[in-house]
Amino acid sequence: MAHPALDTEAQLNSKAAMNKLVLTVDDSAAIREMLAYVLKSAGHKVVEAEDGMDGLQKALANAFDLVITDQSMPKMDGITLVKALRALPQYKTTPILLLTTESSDAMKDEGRLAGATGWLVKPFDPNKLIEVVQKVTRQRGA
Amino acid sequence: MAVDLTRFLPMFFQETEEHLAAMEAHLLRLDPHAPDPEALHSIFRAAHSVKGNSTIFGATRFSEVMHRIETILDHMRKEELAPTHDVVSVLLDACDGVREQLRLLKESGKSRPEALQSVYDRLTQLTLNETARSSAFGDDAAAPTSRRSERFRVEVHLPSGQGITALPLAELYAELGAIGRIEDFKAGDGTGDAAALSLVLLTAETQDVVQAKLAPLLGADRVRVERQKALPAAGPPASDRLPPRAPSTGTTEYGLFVGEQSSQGSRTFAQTGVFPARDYVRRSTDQDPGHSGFGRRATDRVHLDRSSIRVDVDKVDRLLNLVGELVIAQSMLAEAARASAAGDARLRDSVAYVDRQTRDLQDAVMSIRLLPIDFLFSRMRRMVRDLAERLGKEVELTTQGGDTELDKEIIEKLADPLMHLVRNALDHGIEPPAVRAAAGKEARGTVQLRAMHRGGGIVVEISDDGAGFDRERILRKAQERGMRVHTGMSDEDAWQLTFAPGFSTADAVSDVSGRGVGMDVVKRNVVALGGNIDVCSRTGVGTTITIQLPLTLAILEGMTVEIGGESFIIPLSFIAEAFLPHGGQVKTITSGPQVVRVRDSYVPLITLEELLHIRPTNAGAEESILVIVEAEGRHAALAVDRLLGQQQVVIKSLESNYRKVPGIAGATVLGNGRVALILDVNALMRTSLIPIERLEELVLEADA
Repeated sequence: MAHPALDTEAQLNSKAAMNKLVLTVDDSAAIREMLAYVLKSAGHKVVEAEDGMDGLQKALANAFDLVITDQSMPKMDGITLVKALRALPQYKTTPILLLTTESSDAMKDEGRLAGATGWLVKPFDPNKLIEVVQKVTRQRGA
Repeated sequence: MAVDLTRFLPMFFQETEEHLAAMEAHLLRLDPHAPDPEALHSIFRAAHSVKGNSTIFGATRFSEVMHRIETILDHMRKEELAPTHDVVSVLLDACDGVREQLRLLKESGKSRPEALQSVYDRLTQLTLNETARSSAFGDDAAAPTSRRSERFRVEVHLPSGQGITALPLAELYAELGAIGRIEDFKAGDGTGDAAALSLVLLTAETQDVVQAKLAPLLGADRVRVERQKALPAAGPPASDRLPPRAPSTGTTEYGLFVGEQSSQGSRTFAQTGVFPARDYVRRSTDQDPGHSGFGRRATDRVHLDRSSIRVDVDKVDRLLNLVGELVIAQSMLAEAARASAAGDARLRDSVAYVDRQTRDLQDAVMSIRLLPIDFLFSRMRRMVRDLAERLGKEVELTTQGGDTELDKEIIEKLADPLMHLVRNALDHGIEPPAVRAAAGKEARGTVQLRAMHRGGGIVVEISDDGAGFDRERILRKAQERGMRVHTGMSDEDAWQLTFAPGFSTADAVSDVSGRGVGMDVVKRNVVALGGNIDVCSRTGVGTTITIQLPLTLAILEGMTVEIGGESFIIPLSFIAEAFLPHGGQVKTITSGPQVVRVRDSYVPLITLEELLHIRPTNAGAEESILVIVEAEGRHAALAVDRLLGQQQVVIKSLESNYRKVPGIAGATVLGNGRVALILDVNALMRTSLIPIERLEELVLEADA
């Protein structure tokens, strides 16, 4: 989680690309496992939450580098979670990706207005997932 | 990076099945006049998840069906369409259709999506047909029996300058999450009059309860809770607004709202076939054969949203078995401690402590296998609905105590008997509406399923307000079968006749019940579970069937007795009393066997001699201790040499370790390390040579 203070810039860069702490929020255990499997294989650490409420509580207890959340969930949906996270100073700029079933314009509007960073359509290509994770986490670090 | 994701497919299949089961369960419970918003939401969410999963295994036709269902639910949510019987039927058929295709897909890697066309068309019709949008709403006469969920706007106001972070957020979310669902969220910037935090809560609790939950956390004057009159401003999930034809299988897989452009041109799995179901089929031939029939945890979804992990049942059973061994080891230790160090208080205390912990551990492990009986009840709901329709009857199924927990194995084995009894209630119990009306009853009949704890076990009741058992007919049929009946016999005795092997009152084999599998089979199944069944019926008023069951099959409360130097266990549930006989209480009757007079009646004396060649050490029954056992409403006396004490024993199957022995239900290991056999009281009663009905006569003959 915390990077050692004396890393060289090159090491920092390579570490920035890996070893992120990611919160995945989805009520489907299968999706969560799939996400965790892909993310871990790319060197990231993953914490799973099973609905928006669970996600929010875990987000309060940790400092995540990235949040990936489903939209339709019990207790609290993804859009509400994004809004709630954005209201917290520590998550004002954290990348948040919405997992969606379709990529409709309405969904995109809703996600953008709530403050999400981007969206990702299920079923996702593992390589695309890694790619977008790299993009959004690097974007933030830059 | 090459990542193989096919291994996740079984999980997706299983989750999809669970979502379908949850949809069905919620659909069956919808009140057509006042559907609960939370229930509608749950159905919507489940349909949405099935839709999402379908794209993962490339079944786009499922997605289209689910998308239609979403649209219909949205109409319901907006109160434009009432979930009438017909509407719900179409939705249930859609679930069935998808479930069937899912099964095909799983088993053969191929589905026949065209089979879904007709149900798809019917769903489409529902969304178009204006007449179907009859307004069953606003009919306040049919007030819902249970409380509906409502939406409340919750606002928290803080002194100026304080933002949301000044709030105990974790506790706040935990409180709200425990009582409902948060649907909208707004945070103020801490300036002016705007609320620091404002959200919409969908909950079945009242305004006062919500207020009371939050006041201690935040201070009563800072919390405002108001009922929301209109639907929340935030629209339905985006998926609703899609053009109706087919869900988009967009060509873009991800995008960013700021900064970079979307990645273009990559195709979804469904299109490229990276994720073919066929791969799964090859892998999954030995995968969870038990998922047909009883889904392992379908209840998780109905008892929604509990935090849980998936564990293989075999692992739980192994754990249970090990704990069983531990309990035995513990009682051996206790026995050794008693024998070797009578005066050592420290040893005694430690052993007592281990004993307590072992029992707690055993209870805890046992509880892992417990499932709420609602698992069964909800399956009946669907059956009652379909059957009532077929029989042209109006039947309402109500349940009570669905959260009562029972061992998984008992639940599974109870399914058939329960289904049979409910079927009987509909077929033979509940009368056609016209008949009911003529009898001054409400046209709609009621079947009630109830479960509750009683004593150390569980009681399940199936009651109906139908015609009751037909006494004349039962007696006539019994007579035809050559059973001993007389017109003066009590109702209770008459009802007992229905439990006789092969007994049926049906003149013609009906489509529904009466296929030769009768109450005798139900009874046998229940008794095999260590349970008991009772009938209470009144002609014209209704029938209640009561099933008593143990909590678990793995342990039993037993009395250890000694007969001929061997230890045996008599399950405590069968023991009525035990006493030392006095002179003249034991009689020998003409045909040879002995009977015992207990107060005003005679009961046969059972010996283990013929069955197990075990002869009591005591010279005769008069010098033995007599244990009166009771099963199937009959009594018998068992002569034992000594009562050794009452204890919980872990049941070991004799069958799997040796072979089936008549009269023996199983075995256990005692504290002294010796094996004791558990007596099968039911079987012993059956071996009793004397027809119990004739006892009195025989005794009189002997006396004469």
